[in-house]
Amino acid sequence: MTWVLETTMIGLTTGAVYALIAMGYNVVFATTGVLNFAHGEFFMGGMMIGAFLFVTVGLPAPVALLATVLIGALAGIIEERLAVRGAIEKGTGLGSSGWVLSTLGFGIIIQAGITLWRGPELRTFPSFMPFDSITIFDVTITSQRILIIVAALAVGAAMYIFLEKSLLGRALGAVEQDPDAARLRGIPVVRLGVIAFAIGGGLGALAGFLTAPLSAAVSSVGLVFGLKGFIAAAVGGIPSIKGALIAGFGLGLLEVFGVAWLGAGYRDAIVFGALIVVLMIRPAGLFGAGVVRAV
Amino acid sequence: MEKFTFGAPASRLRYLGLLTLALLIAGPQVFATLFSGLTSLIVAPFTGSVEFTSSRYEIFNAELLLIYVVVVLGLNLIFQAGMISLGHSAFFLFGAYGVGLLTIKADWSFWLAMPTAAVIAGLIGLVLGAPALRLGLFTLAMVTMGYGIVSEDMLLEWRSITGGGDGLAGVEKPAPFDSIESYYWLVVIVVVVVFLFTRNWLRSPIGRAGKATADNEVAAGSVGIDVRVVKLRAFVVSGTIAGLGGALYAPLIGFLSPGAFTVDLAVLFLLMVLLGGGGTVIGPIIGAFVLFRIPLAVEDITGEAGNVSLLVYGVVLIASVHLVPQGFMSAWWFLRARFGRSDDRAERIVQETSDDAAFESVLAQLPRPEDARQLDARGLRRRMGGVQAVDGVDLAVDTGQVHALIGPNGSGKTTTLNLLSGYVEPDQGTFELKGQPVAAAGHVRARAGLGRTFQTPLLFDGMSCVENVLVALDRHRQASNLAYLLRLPAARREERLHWRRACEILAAVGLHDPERRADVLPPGERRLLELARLVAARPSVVLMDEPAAGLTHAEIEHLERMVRVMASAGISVVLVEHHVDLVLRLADTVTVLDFGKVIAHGSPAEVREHPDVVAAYLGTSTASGTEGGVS
Amino acid sequence: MSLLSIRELNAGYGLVPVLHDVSLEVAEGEIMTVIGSNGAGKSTLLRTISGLTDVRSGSVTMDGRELTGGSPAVVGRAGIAHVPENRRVFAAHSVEDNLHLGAYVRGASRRELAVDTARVYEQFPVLGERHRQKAGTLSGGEQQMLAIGMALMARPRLMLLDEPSLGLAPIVVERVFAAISDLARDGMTILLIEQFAHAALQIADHGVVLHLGEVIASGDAASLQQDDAVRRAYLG
Repeated sequence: MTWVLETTMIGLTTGAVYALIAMGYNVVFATTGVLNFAHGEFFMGGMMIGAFLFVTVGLPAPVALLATVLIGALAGIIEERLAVRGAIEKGTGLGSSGWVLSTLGFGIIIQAGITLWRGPELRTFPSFMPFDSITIFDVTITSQRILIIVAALAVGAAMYIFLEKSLLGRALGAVEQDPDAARLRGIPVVRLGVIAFAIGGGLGALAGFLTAPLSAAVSSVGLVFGLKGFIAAAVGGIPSIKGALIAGFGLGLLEVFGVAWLGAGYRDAIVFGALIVVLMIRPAGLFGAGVVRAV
Repeated sequence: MEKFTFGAPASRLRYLGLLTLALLIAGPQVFATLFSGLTSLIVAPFTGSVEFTSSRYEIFNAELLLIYVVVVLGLNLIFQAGMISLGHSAFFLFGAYGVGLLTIKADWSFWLAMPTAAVIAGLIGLVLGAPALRLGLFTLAMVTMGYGIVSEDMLLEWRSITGGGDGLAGVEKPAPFDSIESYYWLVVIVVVVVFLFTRNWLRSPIGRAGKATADNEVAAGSVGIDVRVVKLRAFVVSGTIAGLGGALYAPLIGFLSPGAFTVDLAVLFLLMVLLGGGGTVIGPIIGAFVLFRIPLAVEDITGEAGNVSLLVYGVVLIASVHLVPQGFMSAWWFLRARFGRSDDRAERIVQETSDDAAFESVLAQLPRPEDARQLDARGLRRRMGGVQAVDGVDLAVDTGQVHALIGPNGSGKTTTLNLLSGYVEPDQGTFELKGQPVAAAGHVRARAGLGRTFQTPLLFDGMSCVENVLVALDRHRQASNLAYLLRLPAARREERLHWRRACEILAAVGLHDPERRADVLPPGERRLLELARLVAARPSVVLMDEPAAGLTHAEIEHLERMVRVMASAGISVVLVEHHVDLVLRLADTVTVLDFGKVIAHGSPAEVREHPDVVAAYLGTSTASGTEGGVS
Repeated sequence: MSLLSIRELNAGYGLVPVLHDVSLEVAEGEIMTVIGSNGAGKSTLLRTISGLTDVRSGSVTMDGRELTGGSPAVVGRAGIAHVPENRRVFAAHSVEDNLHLGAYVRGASRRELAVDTARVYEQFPVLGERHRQKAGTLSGGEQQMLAIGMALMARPRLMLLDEPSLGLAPIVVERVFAAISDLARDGMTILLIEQFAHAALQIADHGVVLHLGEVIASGDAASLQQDDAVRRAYLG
């Protein structure tokens, strides 16, 4: 029983990470129609830059966190300018999807750049919570785990309210549906795209910073986390925030229990398998737009 | 006298191709020398040196490049069918480890192991390609990336078979190709064969179907293309070719380890295709050539292997999207169009008779359908979005008749039309064409003789007018796919015949520039192109969805004439329209829908006076039926 | 007393010129209609006014203020609202959200949004009934009302209407045109593009005929309706 509870906590933690990453994909897609192939590297960047600021430079945790998130947002703005704007219109023979390549490229640059800067080794990232853990029902729960679960839920709620209730949020979600009609009505399409990428970048970096104490910071994890975060978004139904949360937590639990059953080498295959199963049944994901969008 | 070439004719490029072939045949030393020189030239601005050498190391590199070319030519086929794969490292892996395991653990001969490994890769492609049928482009790209990652994981996990992280050693080159220099010849043979195969593929109806699918799936379905088959086929063949590349790779490198089959490699493959020009015949080769040297050069300069190369790749990716979005080949064509001569373009076939007579004669060449009930739909019912969108609709049309379907917005006209087209499955009801029930699938009904036009003309925008029509004509080709892949005389004859027919049909509807790309046509001509493609598909029944929307009076008159000609040639027409005037003049029967039910049915005159119809749809004033001031 | 003044406008897309020396004046409070065949440049004219197309030369002035080449946001704040061809509402958002987005360019406060939305519901009760529904589930006519409502939310002085009758049943077209006339009667200035020349000339005060990007005829609506050449080409 204890084992079940402990594993559930780990699963929820993992799920929280996936959910946060998924939300970053969602906000960018909902506005620009771009699936940011660099997003996983923003996560990794959050880890590494966070480690640099918190451990190496020694800034207090909240300051390091804020700075990391802001750097992530800034990187998102740069990405939009360099790799997305202008690329959205340009085709590669596949309609307007040049951004697939350029966001891929941007991600590669981040990954290679950070590895060159900080090296490929693992860096430890100590806990920054004021208390170590709490114990309920014989189960010891690390405070960092609580933090990340709470953060995912809080961010999810905030994003949901923002995107569904505020005018800016509604505008962000409208652009992708018909950018030309939005522009024509005086909605600043480009500026909203920048905002979306800033939010996405910040979310990715936040997720990385909060995860680092749990898993150490290393520059090679962007790809796998990026893919799993995408899987959470896709299973939940892009661009649904609700879907990202539910699918994220669900996949986290599936992964840890699955690994307990099948072995660690199957970690990725389990989550990936879930993606295939869900998409074959519901290509738009669990809470995806009713009309199947060609994402 | 017509003389023309087709596909992607380029006599200058052909010379380049022959030159390359000559260089290949000249042998490993010559090729390696030239290869090392040219590729070092590309990175010379950074390395500061150009080196022509035929050392063993360079020969090895040359062979590796050629193997990458094999993979990339295969990947190109997927791209051309409208998909992006970031997982071709997986197929490469299957091929390489397939050969490795079969020759080392099962003691097979390489000659058996190589094709087997390729076929296994293809079969796995059948499984991996299945999701491609249901997923959008970008989700598929992510999913294929997942394939790459999971394949690597499995390689490590099943260490007892694959050797795990320690790898698999001792893959030997087969006699008589058992040295670096002689192995070259095996690689060359495979590259040339694969090149010819993919080139023929791209230029054949199969390739055209791929292009059409990539361009517009619904339009492709409406001329009878089964897009699922097209995509899956591309996946399987592409996977087989990539597996073949992997099979060649294993003996070349001798030692297999998981680290060689990462997602980075898959990205590199994709980059090579796209940089050179995806979907073109030689683009990928150019891309491979250009990109190959970069990591080697980078290593020379900085001593830092992987990461700086990656940095460069990333920059190249971003830069290429901004500078050459369609790849180098498009830049080539752009320059050629501006500065070159157009001697290898098709000559136009000039028709001097009037549009209608030409149109009639084109239709007269088709076999006239016998008099029969061409389309019979009964009791169609369908719920959509919580509403009974279609509630017991019957619709029938005989040979050469025009049946109009009118009604207010939300009356179920569009859903009915989609039910008839097969795009939506009915909850209840039957559907027969010529007395035979036909399944509810767009391409199946199209093949059974049902044609369709759309509210906004759905064209293959990236293809020329003539190609648009050829796609429809391909449906009725006699020569087999194999004949096309081998470019046998029968196939080439048929291509020429179809080309000529396509130009005739285009001229008959009023389009006299067959090579123009569909996306530059003005709106009126887009309709004409859709009509040309429709007619080329030889339909017996045609569903037209608001064909007069947005047309002026003169254009509507032209449309009316065309529909009359089609009807007198025996083609049945089901017409959904709001232009009441047009409907009253043209239709033999009219069905009026409201809230999903038929509220009136009969001749135009009867329906015009029907009180329910006037109340629900026509209204009383000038907005209806008096578009010309004539009632 | 013209509200909108277009002088010798040359505009197009990239290398392709579409409008050639187009001039027209729209007086305050009137309905001006632009008719012509497909490809004549009618939509391009509206898009140019709204700032979506490159202006080569010429000018667009609103109430004396130069608007040429301004961004859609600038044009919107100057009091011009655009109802695009084919409605182009945001299908996945609710009717009410769509209306709110119509006012985005104004930077309206919550209170103003509520007041304006209520006013639109008064004008188009069917939108009030369906205000929570996703705009994509509305019928064509209802979407047209919504698109007009969205434009109204921007509190414009001039409304650009692009082919409102496109794809609508005759009875619905009647209602839409009645609504347009009502708007004009209440003081809105309207620039109306229509394929349906007959109906447009019936409600308009003045008209302009575009052909291949050039103005080939203009005058008050009644005399255009009588004009032989116009009748033959556009009225049948």
